[in-house]
Amino acid sequence: MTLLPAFSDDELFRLMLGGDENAFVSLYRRRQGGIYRFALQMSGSESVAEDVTQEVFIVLMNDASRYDPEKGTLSAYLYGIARNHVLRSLGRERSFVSIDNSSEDSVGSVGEFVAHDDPLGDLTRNETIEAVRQAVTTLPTHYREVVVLCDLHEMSYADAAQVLGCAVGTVRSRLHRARALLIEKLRATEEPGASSPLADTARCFA
Amino acid sequence: MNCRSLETVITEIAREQILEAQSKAAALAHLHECRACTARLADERALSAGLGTMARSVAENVSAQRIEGALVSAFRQRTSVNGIGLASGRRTISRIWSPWSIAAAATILVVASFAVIEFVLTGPGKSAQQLSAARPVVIPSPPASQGNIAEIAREDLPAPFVQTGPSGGSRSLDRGRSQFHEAALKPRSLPNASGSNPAGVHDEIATDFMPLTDGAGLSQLDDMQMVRLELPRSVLQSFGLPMNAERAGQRVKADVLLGQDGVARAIRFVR
Repeated sequence: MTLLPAFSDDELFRLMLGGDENAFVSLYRRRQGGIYRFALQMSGSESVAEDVTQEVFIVLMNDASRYDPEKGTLSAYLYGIARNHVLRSLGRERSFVSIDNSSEDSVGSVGEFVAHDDPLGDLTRNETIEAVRQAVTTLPTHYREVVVLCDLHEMSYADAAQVLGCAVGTVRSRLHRARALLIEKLRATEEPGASSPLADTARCFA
Repeated sequence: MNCRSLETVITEIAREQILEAQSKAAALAHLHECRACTARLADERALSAGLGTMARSVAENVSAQRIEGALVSAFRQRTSVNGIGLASGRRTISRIWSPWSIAAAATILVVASFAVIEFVLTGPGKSAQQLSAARPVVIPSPPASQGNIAEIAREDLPAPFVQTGPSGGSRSLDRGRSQFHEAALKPRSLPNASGSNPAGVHDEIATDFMPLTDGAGLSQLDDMQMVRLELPRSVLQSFGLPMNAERAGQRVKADVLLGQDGVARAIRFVR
């Protein structure tokens, strides 16, 4: 198997259309990681993420002609397919996913994320990650996807807008609102029932 | 800049996005003055740091290799089927399904549907004989002034298939087949291209159209095409029309209206 790292996504795509297996594998290896992480961060399920990753490239293979380079990047197109599959999957499994953001299990870990007194305390990296992951996973889907795309995948507003099929301004406002919700969630699990601004009382060392 | 206007750019500042120099300077000036906004920015930055930590921590796809194997197999299968590449699949289909192919397929479908009707009404032995006798006949091309075949079909449509507005006394297109039999027994002359009906070799008498479906789709007359066929005369009995037993071995002409999906919607018999 000869990979083609020097080729752009669009070049690989064109070669793939011509039946070049190396181009297809190169494209897969280049993009599967991001697609997998996106699906995992959106769904919180490794099995869903694996299924979505496979489905994305099957769709690319079967409906290759749907991709129009003039409308956006191949990467954004793949993320768009992944998003559709994730949303479908979330719709199917909604009744099995806990969205209880006041879970007692998460209180301790979030408490480590936002500390009041001791700067480092017993904060650990894994607990921080788990706290943020919990908060992200419990966001409404339309907020979660902008956080995952823009903050976790460092996608530009324009690319995220293409993935989501909405205006750049919508992405921007959703991200602003989503981040405000995340801060509220993290603080709420730290101080259940508290309504004062986080900044007045807490310092964060994450 | 005040607290409210800072809120519109605080996400970009925390995420270290590019801002207009003027906006950034105004925001920083406000942050020096406002303790609450400074704390708010600290929260945003802390959140960005937490999200960054989470982003770096996500495990790799341990099944990536297994998925790759499955995808490569699918890719090989697909390219071997298409012969050339992935893009050839859709072109091949469009080449195969040319308009002539669709018309031929529709004709076969119509003949087959009549065979099924015969089978149901007269029994398997007779149906098989009649099916072998059924033969589609291509209509000679009409003069240029007649327009396309769809236009002819529209002109010839009898009243039961014409939708009228409420004021004109609408008639349901979903009437049962039995209601059409009465009208079907009344022959009507077909107009020629000019709309008149002078005596000549092209003069024909036809029954009204009788629906072959439950009426759904009959309103889409613009999308229909008319095809003329020759069918076993015994088909007349299937529609409750009289048949001369002495001419049972002969065929009868029929015009069939086909929808875009190739399904026969209505039929009329022509003499």
